[in-house]
Amino acid sequence: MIDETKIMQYADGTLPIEEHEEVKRAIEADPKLKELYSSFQETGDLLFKLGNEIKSKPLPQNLQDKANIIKSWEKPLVKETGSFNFFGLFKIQYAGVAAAFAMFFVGGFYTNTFVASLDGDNKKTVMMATQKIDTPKELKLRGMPNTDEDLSTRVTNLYRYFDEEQFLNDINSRIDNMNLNDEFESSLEDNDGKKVRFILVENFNANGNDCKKVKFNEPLKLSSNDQGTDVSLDICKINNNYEISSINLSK
Amino acid sequence: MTEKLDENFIKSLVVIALGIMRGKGDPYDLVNGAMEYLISNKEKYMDHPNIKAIAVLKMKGLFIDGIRKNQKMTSMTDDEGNDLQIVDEKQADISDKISLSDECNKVLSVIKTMGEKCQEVLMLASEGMSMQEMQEVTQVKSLGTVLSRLSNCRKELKGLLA
Repeated sequence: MIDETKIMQYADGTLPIEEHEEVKRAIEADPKLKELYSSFQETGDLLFKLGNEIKSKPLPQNLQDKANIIKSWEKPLVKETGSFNFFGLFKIQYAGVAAAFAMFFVGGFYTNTFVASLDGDNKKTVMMATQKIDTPKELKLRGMPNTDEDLSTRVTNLYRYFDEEQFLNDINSRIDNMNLNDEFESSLEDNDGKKVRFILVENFNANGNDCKKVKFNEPLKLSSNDQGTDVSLDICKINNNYEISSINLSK
Repeated sequence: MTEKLDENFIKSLVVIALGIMRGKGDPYDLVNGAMEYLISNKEKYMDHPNIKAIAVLKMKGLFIDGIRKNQKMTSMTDDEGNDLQIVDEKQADISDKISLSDECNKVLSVIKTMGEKCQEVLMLASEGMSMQEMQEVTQVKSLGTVLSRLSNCRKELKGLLA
């Protein structure tokens, strides 16, 4: 008998990937578990919406004043120049950094953090940036750490170097013609100029939408001590276009 | 965990405060109290690896202090750890201060009718905390307990919303 908490974690996208198959099979074989799975999906979405809606409201002035005070506490996340080899992931061209400490993005907020840019000699410099970042309100980041490692660092760094718009442009034009385990090359490039490749690993339905899970074809190094993180993206078709519904990280 | 300290950090505390207050007070006041504490203890906490947990625990302490001062209750649980009902209906509610969609208002209203532990864990989930973070701020010994509590509370929530 599958533990109900496993069903919840599967619905939330936080179940370790090695347990997916067993839980998925159990859900498919048992209508009660399927109902429970749908129920967890529903409450997960409701709680997510509730949190996001509350967070979208402006703070009272006294709290805004305190926010301005604590902002000054921030210290540089990293300040390196020269041979800054940032994870060998994407070509640095996107500053989509979110408030990853919550693992959920809130649409349209200001960030005050570092972005990296690609120098002509293929070395990176890191610079301070303060700019408004628009991230999808419905985008969920769901992590599945097995240890007490700093998931938020990995999440932050993933989104710092992931051009979601470019990815969606690439995938919308071809995903419907792909079969399971098909691999496709995106226009995203890693630091060595190599095209980033993705694999279609699952077709599923969520809240009546056609969804697909695609994963990076190899583990990503998302923090300085990361030995390799498997990253998959759930994308769902909404108004004839696929949108990212969750990002799953596991080791 | 390294927090990004800005207005989004404070907004996440507002969500969590809702779970702590259980609709019996103004969560903004609780957040304000926790922020004043953090700011006045800047040297102690600015480098803390999980400043959010510090803020949450402070909010819980402030809430309990407030209850005791108002002589409404000396504890939130009885000797066996069961939830006690806290009666203080006169205080302002966040729904008086911010307008939520009908759907979110309904969910929040239902959550506020649930037990103390469910309210807390559901709002922590709503804020987006991971299980590990929830375990830290709820000070529950095992991760399995947090998981089963959240699972049971979500099933209860689903039933109440039906």
